Amino acid sequence: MAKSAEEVLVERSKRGDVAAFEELISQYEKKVYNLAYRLTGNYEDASDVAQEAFLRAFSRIREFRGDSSFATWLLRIVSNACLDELRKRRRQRLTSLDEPVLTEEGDMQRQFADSGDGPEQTLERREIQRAVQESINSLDEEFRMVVILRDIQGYSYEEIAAILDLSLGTVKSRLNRARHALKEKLISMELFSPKIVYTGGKGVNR
Amino acid sequence: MRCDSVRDLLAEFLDGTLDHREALLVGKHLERCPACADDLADLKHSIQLCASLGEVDLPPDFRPKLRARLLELVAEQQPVRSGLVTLLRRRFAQASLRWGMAAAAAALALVLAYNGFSWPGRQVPMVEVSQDTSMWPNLYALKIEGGQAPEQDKSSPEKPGLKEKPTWIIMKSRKENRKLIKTGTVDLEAGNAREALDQIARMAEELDGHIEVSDPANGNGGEPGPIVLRLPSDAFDQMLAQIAKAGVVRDQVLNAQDVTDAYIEAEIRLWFLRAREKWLVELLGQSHSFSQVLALEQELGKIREAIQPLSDQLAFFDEAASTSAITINLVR
Repeated sequence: MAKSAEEVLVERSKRGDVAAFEELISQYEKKVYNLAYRLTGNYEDASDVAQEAFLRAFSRIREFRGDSSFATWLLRIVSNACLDELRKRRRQRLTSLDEPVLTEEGDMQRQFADSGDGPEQTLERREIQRAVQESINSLDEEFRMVVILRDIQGYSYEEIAAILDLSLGTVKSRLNRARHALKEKLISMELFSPKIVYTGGKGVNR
Repeated sequence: MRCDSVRDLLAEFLDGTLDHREALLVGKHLERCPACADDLADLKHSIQLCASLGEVDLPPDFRPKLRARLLELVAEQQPVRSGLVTLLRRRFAQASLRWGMAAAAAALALVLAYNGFSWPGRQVPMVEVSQDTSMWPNLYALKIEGGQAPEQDKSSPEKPGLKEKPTWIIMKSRKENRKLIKTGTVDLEAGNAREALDQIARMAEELDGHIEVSDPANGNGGEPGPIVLRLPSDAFDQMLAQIAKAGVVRDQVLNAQDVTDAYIEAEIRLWFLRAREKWLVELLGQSHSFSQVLALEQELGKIREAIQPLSDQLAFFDEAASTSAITINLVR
């Protein structure tokens, strides 16, 4: 049977061919970087974390046997590497100064430079996005991971279960809890405009 | 269905992954329970906010940085081993296994000495190579006894104060003295080989490189042979990008070799030989008997003979690590 282009690239990467590995990961680079960015909440850490993740994937590519798709295998390595880095950084932060994990102003300007909105809408959108990112950062790492994979990157439950090496049931309950936690956080940040709809006796101002 | 069990199913309800029966039960509950319906609306809103977060672009330095680190990783996996450094590592590993890290340092010292030639009443120069445990394997300490200090050493922070005694300690950081030899091979498809070759030559020149080997088509329609470019290491990535513009890249192989160990070993041996050489010259100046002079000169000749290939090897490594080679195969 003829080998697919991906299989050839995997074989070559296993022999230490950097160019083949670069080609192999080229279609996942942006996804991985964005995953790292949403997990860490800032560009600098995202770059470091994503680089670490790819380096780990390269050094362990000989372990890839084709039991799952390459994309799933890569994302599993990447998500583990990201979580390890996050935990490491959290420990460092605890022992050093309390650095904010918030997105910096400059980062946001980069992100919305081409949104085409007027300055006011841009500012408002920027504020909202910053608040959403901040809310995501307030979740535990495991919750953060499922919310990002499902609601930002759009993976299916099955894919997430394969990537995180969890049972489907665990993914479901974890995602459910993560979404509720995120929702509560967003409400507490007054990010939802007050609703006129029936509020079930909880009051109108929320 | 009770509110808390509905709550557990809301996320799935939104994703449409509940089975028909469950979805029906949740739907019914939502019709009757405004609190849960409200919860659902908030959840929906929150998910929409997440989905509205745009994708960010890779920073421009992401790929070059990653490539540099990948090449380092590859180089580490296939280092050019040196006998001396390997011996040092093995000793260290054995010692630390037996007695723990702290004791390993003591067992580590490796002494280079010429036993074949001695001088009555004078200490023979000795070189002791060891590694600092705290920074191992990135640091080598070199101690030279009984000879002369190697003159050229800028990297030696320990020299002052030791001058009176004929002992020198030289620290070499493996990391700072890292020598990587990068090589690339590109299969390039070009409509007109001649034109592509000219274009590549121009680009190489702009980047301070040159064509080392070129075997253009032999007259009418013969296959052109490979072209080897040599250019400064820093220009490696830039040149690869430029080559891609001269045609269609069919295949590309990038590689790197770590020759740091071999380099450090050659340096260590060279220092030792130079120390030995000075010592002999000094003795020669004090000798008056013909047989003594003869013996010293004979020994000196041997040392100088050994110095030459070592300095050649260092020069080769320096050249190879500060430049990189790209081989281009023109294909049709």
